[in-house]
Amino acid sequence: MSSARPALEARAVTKRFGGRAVLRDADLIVQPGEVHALVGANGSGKSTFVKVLSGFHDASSYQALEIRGQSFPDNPTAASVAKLGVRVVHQDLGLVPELSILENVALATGFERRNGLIRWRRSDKRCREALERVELDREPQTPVGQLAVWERVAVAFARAVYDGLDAVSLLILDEITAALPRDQVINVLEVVRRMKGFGAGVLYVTHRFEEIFEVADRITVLVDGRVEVSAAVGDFTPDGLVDLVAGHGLVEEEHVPPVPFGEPRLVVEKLSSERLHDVSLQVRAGEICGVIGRAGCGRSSLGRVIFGLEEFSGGRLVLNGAELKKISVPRAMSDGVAYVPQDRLGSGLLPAGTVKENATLIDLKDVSRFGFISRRRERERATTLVTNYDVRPANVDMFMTQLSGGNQQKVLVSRWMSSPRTLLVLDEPTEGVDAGARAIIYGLIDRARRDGAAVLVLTSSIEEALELCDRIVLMSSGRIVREFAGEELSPHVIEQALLMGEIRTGVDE
Amino acid sequence: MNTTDPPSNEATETRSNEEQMSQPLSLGARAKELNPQTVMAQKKSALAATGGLGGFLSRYAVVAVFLMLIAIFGITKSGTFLTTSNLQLLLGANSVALILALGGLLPLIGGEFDLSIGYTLELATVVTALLSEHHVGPGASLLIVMAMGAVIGIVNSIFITVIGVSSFITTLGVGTVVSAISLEMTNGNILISGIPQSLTQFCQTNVAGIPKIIFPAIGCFVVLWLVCEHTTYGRRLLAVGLSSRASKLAGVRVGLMLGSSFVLAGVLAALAGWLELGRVGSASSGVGPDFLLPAIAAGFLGATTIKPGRFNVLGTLVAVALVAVGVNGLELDGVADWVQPLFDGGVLLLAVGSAQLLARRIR
Repeated sequence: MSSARPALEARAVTKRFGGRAVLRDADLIVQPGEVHALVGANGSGKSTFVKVLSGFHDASSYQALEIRGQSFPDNPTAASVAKLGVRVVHQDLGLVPELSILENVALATGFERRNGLIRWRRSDKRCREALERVELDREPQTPVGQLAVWERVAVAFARAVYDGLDAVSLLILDEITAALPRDQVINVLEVVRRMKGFGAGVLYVTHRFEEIFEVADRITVLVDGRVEVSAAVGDFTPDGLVDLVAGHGLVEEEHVPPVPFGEPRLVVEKLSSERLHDVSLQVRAGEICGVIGRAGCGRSSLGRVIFGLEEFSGGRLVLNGAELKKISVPRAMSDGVAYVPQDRLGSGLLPAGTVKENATLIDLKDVSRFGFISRRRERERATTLVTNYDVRPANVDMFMTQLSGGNQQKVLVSRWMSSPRTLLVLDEPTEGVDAGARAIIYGLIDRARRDGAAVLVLTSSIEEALELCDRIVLMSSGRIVREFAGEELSPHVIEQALLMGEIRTGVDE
Repeated sequence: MNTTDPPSNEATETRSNEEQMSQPLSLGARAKELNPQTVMAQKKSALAATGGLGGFLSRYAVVAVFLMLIAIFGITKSGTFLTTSNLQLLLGANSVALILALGGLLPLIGGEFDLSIGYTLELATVVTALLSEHHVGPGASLLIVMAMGAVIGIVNSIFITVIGVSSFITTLGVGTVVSAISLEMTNGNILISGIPQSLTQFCQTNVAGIPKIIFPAIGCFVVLWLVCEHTTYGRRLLAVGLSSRASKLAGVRVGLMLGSSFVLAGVLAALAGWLELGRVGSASSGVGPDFLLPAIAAGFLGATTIKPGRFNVLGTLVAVALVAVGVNGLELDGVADWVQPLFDGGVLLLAVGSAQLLARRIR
């Protein structure tokens, strides 16, 4: 190990955004033939580090940066590190499902060409060679959309080793398993081991600790942009690692709901759909229940099924005590369900519509008679909303696109408050929203629950879940894997459960 | 040779892998690129940013051009343009165009195209003429052709809302099939026999100096204006055009809204065809395309005025009037038949082009 030049040697890398240092004097050495795990909580600087190493961000300062012994006196560019054999595979893989494997590979590497014309046979041959290197047994003409998710990861790998295995010095894998079902992670780890067998250094960035202990040789832990510890995997225990990553600086306070809970408004039992598996959950009047989990865990799907946007294939769905065999949006709305989707501009609002049009769209009936809209009542309704919830500027004739994200969100949430609802389903209610707007939206949610609504908050933010919710459930791969209530509503407990992830699947009820 | 190029990453970032898997490339997905409302939406927000004089100008520029044309032709061709007979001709001839444009407008408001309306009009003239040969009265034949227009609209909406084919492709296909039916029915002949006098009289004569044919057009205009500006139906259709996803989440029955707009478009096109037979006194196959483009162009030109950035009924009226006056004024000089298509095509390009330019400049 000491004789070979490291695949990567980075010393005292610092990166500031504005005045804030997200990476401070961080060291990282990756040896050839080693899988080196880089772990840390959200915001610990992992992805910033990866971006600096792959040449997408310039470091603010560093002492040394060497790839295969080649040092960079100045910040490297993406092209210059690529030339030295650094390959990056990101979580989203950058694949187009409609295109074939060959076309996807060529997107990054270019086709084999002569005189400007594509040499299909040669391209096909080289693509096969690349697929052989990752041992993916698929025809290059197969559309990527037909592949299993782990096979797509393998295609991204094949693309990385297109120029031959010798050409790869450092393979950076940035949370590639984040959206992968558990049973497919094993296949991906298999490909990772193969890569390392060929002598490339592998920098493995992940949230999933169980994978680290399966595949990594060394672990570097980042905490607040600093390297907390860097050692061989044998020096860690799973629990010790979790404590290192999660256990610091979080305040815990007791949560007391302001109103006694009433009847169950929403009951789902063993609900299954394309992306949900046996989800059972109950939310009572006056209760705020949070659903957390990693991206792709199915929490958005749960909301979409309850509001009738996705079908469910099995299980029971009971709204306000009445079981529904099928549910549609109009049905859910007439049962008093309010729904705020995640993608504000894409699916929540009419971006080119006015504040007034957006505010009254969900209950046009209330401001019309015999199908004719009363201009006066419509304006009154919208103006009331704008004043009550402090939408700025307070002009109901403005177009939605002219409002800030926070004010757009206020309109989107508050338009449901014009009459009492039985159940609020809010998907990322404060995503990309400033602190002031967040406070107003939290106020709205609290008021709705005091008025007797049950609230289901689907969120990626643990802080948000803890601030709002009386109870939190954790979802993973379409299942509810854990529930937190009472004393368990602490950042430490939840972070820990989230980090241990699939190891604990099925342990708790 | 980096394995990940940022642009392609960004493009896929917004959709999760799961989502990509479940969405094959379909004509339905492609349709979004052709959505007329998205063309207009950019301009919409751009115009909103300009208050005051700029906003006023953009709102009434087309009206001003219209008035200018009247003034110019009035002065330069005082002997021919501003005469009772010319104006009567102008109003009569464009009543049919207005009804058809209003028909085409409804799907445009809902964010879709209807390219079959021209052919529906054509088939309606042919069917009315053939029914007349078999001594069916004009009233009965009006009901029959309107039902026929509704059926064409239903076929369109089944393809668009149930199967999910883009409206562009659907209505082009359905329209072409409809034109085949007209051709089969006429055998390529011009039908002139048996057309009821009551119909031709209504469509060709005046009352108090005003062509009678203009009354159904005014009726359609008023009803559609009320529907689009003042009813929940109009608002919901508009919402679908602005964002069908958001509308669905707000409880709007998107399929029903769109489907009904195509049915109404078919019915209005049939009414226009019935009147056209009375106005011209003959029916032949092959006239559909001549009617189609001006109607769609009027919708787009109308969307640049009165309520800029939105397809609107009053704007469509102004657009039909502007094109009518422009073509008529030029034709008085005795210029050839190519003036009309040149004007129609030019207006369409000018309307959509200026919308884009304005949007870019303000942004």
